[in-house]
Amino acid sequence: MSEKTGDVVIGIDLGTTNSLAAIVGKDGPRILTREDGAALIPSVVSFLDDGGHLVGEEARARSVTHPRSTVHSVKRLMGQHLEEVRRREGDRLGYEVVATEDSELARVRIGDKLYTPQEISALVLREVKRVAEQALGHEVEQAVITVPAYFDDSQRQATRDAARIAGLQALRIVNEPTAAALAYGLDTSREGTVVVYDLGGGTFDVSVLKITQGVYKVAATAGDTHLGGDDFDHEIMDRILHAVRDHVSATATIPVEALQQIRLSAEGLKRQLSERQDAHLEIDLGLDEPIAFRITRQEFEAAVRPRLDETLACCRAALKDAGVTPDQVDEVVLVGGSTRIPLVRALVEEMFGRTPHTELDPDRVVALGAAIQADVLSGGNKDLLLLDVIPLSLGIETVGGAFAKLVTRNSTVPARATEMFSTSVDDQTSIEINVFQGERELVRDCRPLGAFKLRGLPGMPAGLPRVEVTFLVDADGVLTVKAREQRSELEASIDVVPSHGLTRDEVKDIIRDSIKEARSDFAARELIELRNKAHNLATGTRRVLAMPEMPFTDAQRKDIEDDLARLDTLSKGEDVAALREACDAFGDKTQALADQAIGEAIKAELNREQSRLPS
Amino acid sequence: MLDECVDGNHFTRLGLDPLQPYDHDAAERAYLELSRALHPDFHGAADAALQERALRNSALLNEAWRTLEDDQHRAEYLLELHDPGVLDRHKKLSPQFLMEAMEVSEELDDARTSGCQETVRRIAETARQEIDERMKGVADACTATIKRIARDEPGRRESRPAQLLSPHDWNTEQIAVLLHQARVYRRILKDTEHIG
Repeated sequence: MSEKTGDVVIGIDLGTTNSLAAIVGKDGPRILTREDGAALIPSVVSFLDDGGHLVGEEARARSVTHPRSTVHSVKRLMGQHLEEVRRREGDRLGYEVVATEDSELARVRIGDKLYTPQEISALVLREVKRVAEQALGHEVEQAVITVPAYFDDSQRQATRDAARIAGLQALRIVNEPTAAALAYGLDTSREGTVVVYDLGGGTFDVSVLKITQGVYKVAATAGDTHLGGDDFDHEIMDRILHAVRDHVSATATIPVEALQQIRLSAEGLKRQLSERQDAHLEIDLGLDEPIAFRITRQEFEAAVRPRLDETLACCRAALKDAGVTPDQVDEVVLVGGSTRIPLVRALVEEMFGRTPHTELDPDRVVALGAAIQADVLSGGNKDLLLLDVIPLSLGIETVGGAFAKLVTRNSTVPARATEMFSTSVDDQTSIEINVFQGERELVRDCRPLGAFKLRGLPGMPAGLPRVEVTFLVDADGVLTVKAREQRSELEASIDVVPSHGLTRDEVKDIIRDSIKEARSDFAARELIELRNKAHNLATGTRRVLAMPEMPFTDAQRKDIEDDLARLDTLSKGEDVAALREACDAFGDKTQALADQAIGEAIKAELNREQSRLPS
Repeated sequence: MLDECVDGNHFTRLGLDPLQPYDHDAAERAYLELSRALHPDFHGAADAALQERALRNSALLNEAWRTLEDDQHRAEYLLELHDPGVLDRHKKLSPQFLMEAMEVSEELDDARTSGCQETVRRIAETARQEIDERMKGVADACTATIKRIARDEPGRRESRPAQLLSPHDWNTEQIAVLLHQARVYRRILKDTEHIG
């Protein structure tokens, strides 16, 4: 690993449910944990009334109490239009997703403020960055960030933008299953054909890799960016809601808080069903008696089976694209929290006729792999090479709305294609090229990536200009387009209008705004830390006060009680400075108290010991 | 190493003689070795211009590999190298061939409607045979040409082994037709997989 701290590159798994960072140190890759030892940072952001926000566990805790201002699973919104989100998620998210007049892109509305999914992801990334910096003891500016292999161009761009907004340079966007393969391959230096089955909180990927002498070449990948644990939760959620509806009037609206409580309960039941044959829940809606809900593993498995069958179909498609039959597969690796579901393991085992690898924690393996790739990029590891593919074909619209593929799916990246264009009327000085991604024959069935407008062509008779357009897909799987008019040797300028992403200017604006916000972020974090501190001080002091051997006078006790009450009032407020001051003052005062308490406690203990000693 | 890749053609990029039978193992070895040298992952510290070149060269190398690894694409590429535009000039297939292909296609459609897997399998097998036959025709034409040159013009190929032939050396039109026909059956084969 590089010694200069400024060049340190960390690996980040930016997950639907949880995010985490890892780094390669002297002893290999390791997870960078929080102050309290926690590795997983829930990918949840909760906005406070005062304009601040919380990220991670503290934010997750507010899902139920403040569902409208707490954003979870934002990864499922990345690079998506509002209608796509509405169709997939319904009203289960709890927070409000809207579009604006000039963009169909899904945005999150909190109060009167709008946030792009990139901005919310950036808040999660900033927390991951903070945790990493605190664990390492120095700043981190560069990262390898993982995305589902099946993320398309706009979802990758969105992830890159989120990193920019968070003040991180994404040196590389790596596919999650590929990262997992790296993490598994490290100690064994495997050779052969490996299948990675990655079923996470929100997305599913399967990748087939061929490993030869340290080169990890992805042969094919397939997946679904909206298939994961969230969907299994929804299945249980729907059943709970059904049970609830039997007890309340059919038209009654279930409050959003209850809905989020049910969502979390559903997740809990799902987890239990991986260990047990059935799971129970009592839902207290303030009715005469709580509603009992029971679900068996069998019922759960029947409910999720259709989605799991879809994952198996993806596996077959990937194998076919890779030109491999199941019996030619040497190893199968399971990644992602949802692979803890016994049925998932059984189905994968059945399909490949071998026991899949589960040695590494499915929640951590992707981050570890990202760290290994980060090590390669920072020059620490020269033995490994990752050759990944583009998951979906890239192409352009031709006559009659047909889709002409220029770079076919599962092409190794970097990949390029060139195409000649000309004009259709005399003196035409611009050409518009519509770029799409997908596998269907007509562009209306593919995903629009954007319109590329070539400007500044020299005026010539129709059909005479010869514009060579180069489509280059970089190692992140992200497209750039360049154009040159061959007769005049003019470099045509290109205006890009992304269909599902932010323009460069929008990203710049957000970065500028986020610097302003960093201040309030800092204040919000300090407030939380101070509240915790005040709480700990109060608890400790009360314990001391309750000790029978403490010889406090009534006046002393009264004085302390007054201080505690004041601390309590300040903790409930938002005045950071006052709370800090009160904490400091009270801390000094109680320090003396604590010394005395320890003194008394030791004295009392000694007395007890002595009385026990045989005289 | 960075720029060697740009000159020449996909074959020479991977150190292969375009006119020798394709050696998959040698091609793969060269591809992996060159990937290590060219891939942008190993040029992260270089200046922007060099990084850009690494990206382009790496993309070119990947294109070479992808083209050569597929029998049809490799043959088409080889032919175009010798006689640019020949595939486009000989796109029109004989009515007799088209009729045959259409009949197979229709039979496949019927099998799709009736769900007859047996017929689909049989058509797939026929398509494979038709493709193999034509690819063999291409390979034979190539071998025969090289043999003839070795006999009639001794020393010509030995002095410059990787040199291409001239369009006059062999019947590129005939090969173009074979390749177009193979493409038609490739499409039919692909359709059988969608159904099966």
